[in-house]
Amino acid sequence: MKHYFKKRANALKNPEPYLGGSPWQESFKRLLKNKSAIAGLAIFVLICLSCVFAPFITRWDYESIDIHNVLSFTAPGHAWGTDKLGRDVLARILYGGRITLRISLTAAAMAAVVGTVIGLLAGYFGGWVDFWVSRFMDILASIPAFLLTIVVETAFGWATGKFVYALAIAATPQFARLMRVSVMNIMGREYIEASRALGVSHFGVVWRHVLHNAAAPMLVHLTTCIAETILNCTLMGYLGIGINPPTPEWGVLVAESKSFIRANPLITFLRCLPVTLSVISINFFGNGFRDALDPRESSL
Amino acid sequence: MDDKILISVENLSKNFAVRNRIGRKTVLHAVDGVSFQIARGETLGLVGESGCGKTTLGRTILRLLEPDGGRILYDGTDITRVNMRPYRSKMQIIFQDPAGSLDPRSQICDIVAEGLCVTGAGLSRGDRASKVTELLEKVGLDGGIARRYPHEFSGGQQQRIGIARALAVNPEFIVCDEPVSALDVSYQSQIITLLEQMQENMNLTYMFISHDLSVVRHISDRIGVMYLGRIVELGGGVEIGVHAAHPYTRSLLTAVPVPDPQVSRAREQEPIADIQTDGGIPSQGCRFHASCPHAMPVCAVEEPQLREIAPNHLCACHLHAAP
Amino acid sequence: MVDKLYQTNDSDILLEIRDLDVSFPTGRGELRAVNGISYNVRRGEVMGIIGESGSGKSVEAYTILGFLKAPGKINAGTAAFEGRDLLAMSRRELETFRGREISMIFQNPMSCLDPVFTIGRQLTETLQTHFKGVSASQAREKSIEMLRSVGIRDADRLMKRYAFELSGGMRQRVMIAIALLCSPKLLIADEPTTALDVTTQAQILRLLKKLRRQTDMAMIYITHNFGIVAEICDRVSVMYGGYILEQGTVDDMFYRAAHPYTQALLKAVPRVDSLPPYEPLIPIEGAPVDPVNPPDGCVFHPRCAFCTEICRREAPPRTVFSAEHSASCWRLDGGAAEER
Repeated sequence: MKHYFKKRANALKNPEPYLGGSPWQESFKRLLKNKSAIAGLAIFVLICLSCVFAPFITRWDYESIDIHNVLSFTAPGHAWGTDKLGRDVLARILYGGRITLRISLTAAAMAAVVGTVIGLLAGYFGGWVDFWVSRFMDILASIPAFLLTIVVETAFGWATGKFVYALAIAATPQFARLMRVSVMNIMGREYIEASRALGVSHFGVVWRHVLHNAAAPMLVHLTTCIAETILNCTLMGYLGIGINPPTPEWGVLVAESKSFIRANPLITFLRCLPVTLSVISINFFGNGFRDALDPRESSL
Repeated sequence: MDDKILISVENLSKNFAVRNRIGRKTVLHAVDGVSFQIARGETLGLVGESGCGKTTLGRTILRLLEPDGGRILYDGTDITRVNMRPYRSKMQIIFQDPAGSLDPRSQICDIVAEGLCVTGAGLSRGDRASKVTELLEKVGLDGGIARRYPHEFSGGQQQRIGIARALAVNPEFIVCDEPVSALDVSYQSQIITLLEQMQENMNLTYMFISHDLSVVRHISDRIGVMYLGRIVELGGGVEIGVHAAHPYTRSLLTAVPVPDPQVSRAREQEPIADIQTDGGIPSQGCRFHASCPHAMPVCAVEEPQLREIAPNHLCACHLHAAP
Repeated sequence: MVDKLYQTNDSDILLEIRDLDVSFPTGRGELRAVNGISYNVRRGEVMGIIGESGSGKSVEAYTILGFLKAPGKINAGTAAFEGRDLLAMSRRELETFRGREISMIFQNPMSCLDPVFTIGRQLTETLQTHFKGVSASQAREKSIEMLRSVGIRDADRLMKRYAFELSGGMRQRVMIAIALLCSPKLLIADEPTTALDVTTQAQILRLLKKLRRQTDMAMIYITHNFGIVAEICDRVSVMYGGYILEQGTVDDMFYRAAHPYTQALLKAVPRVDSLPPYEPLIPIEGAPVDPVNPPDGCVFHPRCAFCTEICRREAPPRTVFSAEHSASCWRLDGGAAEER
C-alpha cells in the first residue's frame, strides 16, 4: 500500500516557475540561477584561459632547465617549484594544459558532429540503415579506448593528429546512440506528422524540428563527453600510448612524477590537480545545464 | 461517379507487424477492408473504442501511413500510389494532443506559416506575417501572439493554433483526430463551435474521429461505428443515435453517461455489455460475436458484410440479414 | 451571511472540510490553488467534485490525504474525519490512516501498481501491513474474494499475473480491489475512468455504485464529466479557480442550477440522447482563471455573461437556497448588487 501512495504523491508535480521567452532563453535564465553550474563553468574557463595565456603567467618555458634548482620548492622565480630535471612545474602544467585541452576539445567536437550525423541517419531512416549503423556503433563502443588508440596509432602512425582521431572515435558511439534515441522519440511526435501532412520535405522536417529538438540532450552530453575525453587523453598519456614525453601533456606529467612521488609528493598532487579540477568543474556545469534544459526530467 | 463525393475509400487495409510479449511476430489488422464515401461539405463522424483502428484509418487516408490494400480516391482521382505533394495542401489533419502537435521550440508564427512555406513559395516575408495574423484572428486568437511559444498557451489555445496551421494551406478536407478529447469542457465546446464555423465559412469536409459518441453525434452528418478494424454500422445521426441496429452500437449508446440524473436513474437496470477488445480479431465469424448479447450460431462461422438495412443506414450484422 | 449549511450538527457527517486554503509559491508569485473551500461528506454518500483542470479539485483531495508536496503549503483550514483533523496528523498517523480509513483510486492505475510484483502479492501485502497477524493464507483468501467482488472472474489466475499483462479496465478493477481491501469508510476517486473506453467506464461506474451500496462507503468523486456526475453522485460541488461556486444535490445541479458557470457548463456539453436538429452548443468563452493572477471580485467574472460592476470589485457571498443547495454569485444575492 505504501508504494501505491508514494508513487502517486510524487506525480503531483510542483508548478514550474514561469520565466517567459523562448525555451532556450528560459533555460539560460534557469542556468544563471544555478550557482554550482556557473561556478563550474567559471573554473573551467579560468583553467582554459590560464593555459592559453600561459606566457603571461609564468616567464619560464616548459622545456628550459634550471640545473641549479632540481626538485626544489624554494627556487627563486619558480612559483610552484621545479621537477627533477629543474623544469618549472607551473609552466609545464600550463603548457601541458594547452595540449590536453586542445586535444580533448577537438576530439569531443569531432565526435559530437560525426555522432550526431550518424545517429540522425539511423534514427530518421530506421530499418536496415538503423540496424547496421547501430550494430557498428555497438562494436565500436565495446572496444576500450586505450585499445582503440593503439589500433589507430599502429594503423595510421604515431602523431598527435591521429591520437585526436582515436579519442574522437572512442567518444562517437555514445553521441550516435543518444542522437538516435532522441530522433526516434521526436519522430513519433505529432508535430512531425503535422509537418509531413503539410508536405514539408525530409530535409525541412529534419532542419526545422528534429535538429532543434534534439539539440538540448546533445549539448548536455557534449559536456560529459569533454570531461570523459580529458580523462581519456590523460590516461593515454599516463600509459604512454598517447602524447609522448617530453611534451608536457597532463597525463605525461603525472606519469613523470611517479619516479619522485616519495621525494616530493606535492608535485604529483599539483600535477593531478588541473585534471581533477577541470573534470569536476565540467561535470558540475553539465549537471546544471541538464537541469536548466529540462527541469522536469531532472526532478525524477 | 457522383461528383459531389470528395473522398472515396474502397476496401482499405492497413496492417502492422507487431511482436507479442515473447517476441513472436504477428500481423495486426488495424484497418481491415473499410469502404465509405464522404461528400463535399459533409462531416463523417467515426466512433469506436481504443484499438478499433479509427486513428490509423485517418492517417492512412492522408497517406501519412501507407495503405496495404484497397484504394483511396480524392475527388475522383486515385491517390493510393501517387506522390502526395500536390494533395498535401488539400488534405489536412488536426491532432488530439494540442501540446504534442506543436513543436515546443518553434514560435507560433513559424508553426502556422509552416504550410505557407510549402505552398505559397512566392510569398514575401511581410505577406506571410500578415497571413499568419489573419489566420490567428480567424481562429479566435490575438494576432500579436505570433512571436510567442506554444508552452505559454492553454490547451484550448494550442488547439486553435493547430487549427490555424491546418487552415493556412486552404484545405478542402480535414481529418479531425479526437480534436477535443484532451481538452477541458469549456474548451471542448469552443473548439467544436470553431470547427463548425470554419466548415460553414470555408466549405470544409471533415472526418471527425472520436471515442465520444455525444460529441460525434453533435458535429456529424453521418456516423461510422468502428470495431476491431471494420466499420460495423454507418448511418445518419438519427439512424445511429435512435435506430441503432448493431448490438455494438447499442452497447456504446447505453454506456455513454447522460448528463441528466433522471435519465441515468431510469437506465440503471439496463445491462452493459462486457466488450473484449484485447483478445484480437477472431479467426472466423463476426468480430463481435464473443461479446455480443444476441450472438447466433451463424455469427461464429460467417463474417457479416456491411449492407443497407434502411435508406442511409448500413449495418454489418446477421440480425439484419437480407430476407 | 451565515452559512447554514455548515452549522448542521449532523452525526452522519464523515468528513468535514472547512476553509481549506492551499497555495504554491512559484517563480512569478503565489499560485492560489484552493481558496478557503468548505464542504462535508456524509456516511455512505457520493460527493462529486466537478471542475476543469486548474480548478483545484485534485489538489484539494490530495491535501486531505497529506499528499501535498513542498513547496505547496496549507495556509488555513481543517479536515475533520470523524472528529479528527487530518491536516494536523503526523506523517506516521496518516500513513496508518490511509488505506484503512480512507483510500484513493486514480486515473492511471499503472502509477500505483508495482510492475515487478504480482497482483496477488500487492493485494496480500496491503492487507498484511494494515492488519498485523493476518496469515498468508487468510490474506490470499480475502484478496481473491475482493477481486471477485470487483467483477474479476478468474481471480485465482489473476493473482499470479503482473499489472502490465492486464487491460486498462482490468488494472482499474485491481486498483479498486486494493483500495477497498481494508474496507475504508471513504474512497477518494480522482477521475478513475477518464483513460478508459466508454463501455469499460460504464462497467467501472456500475461496479463503484454496487460496492457502495454493499459496504456503505462514502466517496469523493472528482471528475470533469457531467454525465458521470449524473450517473453516480448524490451531491455535487462545482469548483472553479480554487473556489466552490455552487453546491447541491445532483437534481439541484441539473434542474435548478443557480450559478452562471454551472448553467453555462451544462449548455456547453453535447448530449448523446439529443435528437437532430441539434441545439447549438454555447461555449464558455475565454480561458480558465490564472491561479497566480486571479481576477479581483468574483473569480468567474471575466467569462460570465451576467457580469456587473460589483462582480469586478468584490467576491460574492454565498446564497443558501436549501439545506443542501447554495451558490456564490451576486445575481442571486437578492438585489444586493443594485444597492451598492
